[in-house]
Amino acid sequence: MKFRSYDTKNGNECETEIISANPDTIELFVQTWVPDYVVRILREPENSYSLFPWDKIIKKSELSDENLQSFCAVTDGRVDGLLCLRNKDEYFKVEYIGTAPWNYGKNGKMRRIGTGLIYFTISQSLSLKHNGTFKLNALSDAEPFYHNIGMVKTGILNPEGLKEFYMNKKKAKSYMRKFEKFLINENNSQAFGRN
Amino acid sequence: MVIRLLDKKLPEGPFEAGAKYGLDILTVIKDYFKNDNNVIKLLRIYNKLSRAQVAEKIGVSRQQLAIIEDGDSVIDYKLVPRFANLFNVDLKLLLVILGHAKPEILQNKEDEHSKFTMAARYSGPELTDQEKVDLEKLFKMIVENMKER
Repeated sequence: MKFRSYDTKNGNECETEIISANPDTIELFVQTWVPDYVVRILREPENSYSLFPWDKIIKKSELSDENLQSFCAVTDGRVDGLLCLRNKDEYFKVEYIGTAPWNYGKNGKMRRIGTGLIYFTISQSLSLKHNGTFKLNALSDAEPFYHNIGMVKTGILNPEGLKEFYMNKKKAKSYMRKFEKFLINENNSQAFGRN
Repeated sequence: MVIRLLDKKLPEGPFEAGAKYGLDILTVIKDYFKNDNNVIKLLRIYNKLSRAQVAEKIGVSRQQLAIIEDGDSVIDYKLVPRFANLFNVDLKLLLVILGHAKPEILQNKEDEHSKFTMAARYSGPELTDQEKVDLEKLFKMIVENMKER
């Protein structure tokens, strides 16, 4: 899938593509996300950003059964976002989702990476017969984002105390309609189950 | 910017470690950096400065800076505020990362008590009496600078 993201530093739109994560993704995560995260926290330690161990997440999704798969959002060879999805008969779930450290906050570099990954999730959910629905457990700082895109709290907490959010069919359709103007193509060659 | 300094075997620990809430900065450095001092090299590269430029500003030779960046030894505590100032990063956090203060000081809010007790939580090598006096003067100077900012 390709969509138009926005570079706030250069003031122009870019093409971002969502593809399956691979060993190169792990290398880029370690060599770009990790150093950038460290510098940002050193400069602003009051920020509560945390970094998921995406190298482990991607490796686990490669080694596990087909229920888990990782994807990356790439702009000009740069990994701007990461996503890990789980497909079960009963549900479709975002296990992990993240934007690169340089995209954090109001002054972040790239816009629409998170929303693009959500669109991709909905489109995968549709193709896997989940009608566009999915759920996730939100870090507390991310709750407003999920609320704003139309997800609702189910009242369920996971063992870590993180609240579960759910995107229903109607909200998923509405979300897709709003995001479609940024879509370039929905090529499904990188869809769940295929590499 | 791709900085090829994290040439370390990646952590093999259980998947769940850090995967629930994410990793904090101290764990990230422990897991992904060759050693803690590599943070200095990272900051230098991020600020697009050469070793010669940083060495001059910090008051060491280029060779000494190379040893600092790539070595395992604890950096002289007197240099840490200079690095923090030069790279515009948080001094307390840098002191913790470089082994001169315990992580507990990061939990304290910015108050007079916590600033002065920073010296009491020093966890570096054994100090001489003169070094202890110098250290207390140094921290008082830091606190005064913070007040001015």
